[in-house]
Amino acid sequence: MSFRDIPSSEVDRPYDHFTHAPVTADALVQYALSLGVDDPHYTDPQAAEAGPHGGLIAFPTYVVKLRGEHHLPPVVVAEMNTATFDGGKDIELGVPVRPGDEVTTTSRITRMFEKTGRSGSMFFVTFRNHLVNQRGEMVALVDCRSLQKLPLLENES
Amino acid sequence: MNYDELLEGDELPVETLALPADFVRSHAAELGMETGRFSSREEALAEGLPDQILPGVMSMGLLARLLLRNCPLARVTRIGTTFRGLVVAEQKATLHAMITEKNESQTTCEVDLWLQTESGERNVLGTATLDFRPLA
Repeated sequence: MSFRDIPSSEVDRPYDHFTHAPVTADALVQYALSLGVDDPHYTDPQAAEAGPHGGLIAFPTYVVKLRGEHHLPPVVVAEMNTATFDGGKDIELGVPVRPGDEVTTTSRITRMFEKTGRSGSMFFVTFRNHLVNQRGEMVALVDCRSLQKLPLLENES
Repeated sequence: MNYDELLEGDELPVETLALPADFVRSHAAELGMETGRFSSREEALAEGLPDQILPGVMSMGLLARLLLRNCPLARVTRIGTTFRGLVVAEQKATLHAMITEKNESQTTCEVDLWLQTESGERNVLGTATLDFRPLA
């Protein structure tokens, strides 16, 4: 079993659609502190009021936390093993997340492909979390790449 | 630093990290990754890894922290990273950022980012956009 076994019909099919509970100031501060952020614009709601962003906003990578109910696409999880890694992420940020926002995340696999190099084959699954707030404004597009190092097929050995 | 203080080719001050295991565990838990390779050396070894490692998004967050520590008036409007190798807890790493392009009409800067491990490997590579326009 491997990423090779994921049917191509999974591409572009939404696998998750989830509306999160309203974001709290405490959650934003807690996230920033856990990353060692010391800028009061992200850790102190009062200081943030006087700051450049007109109040407290989420630290940029907070949006990764606002994935849907599934951390990864279920079909990917089913094929995961210890040779599976996070290959990278790309985040495009729209309007900032502020306390009180209700964010809805829709997730879908966007691409599956295999690459072969000197050290063997790797299979990539890319998936996108599309985040919008309660006003329908784009909050973030989070593109994630899961990769799996593959064993050689019989005809490759 | 403000937009006008930055020039193409400038490197932001390099930041050295110690990456204590507790720090990694705590941020991983905040991300909802309480168990496994991010939480302890023992669990990482059980997964066949050499040691407790950072979640990729934590490396990404630390690079964003470097940007905003140096440019606190800016916002990160785009950031992308490729995780080329493991970043291990309890090992030193350095964070780097270089201004590669300024867009005067938008008041934005493009930045190259990388995290270098103790052994000199650039295990996280990325780019970001810093936007210095105030939020409306």
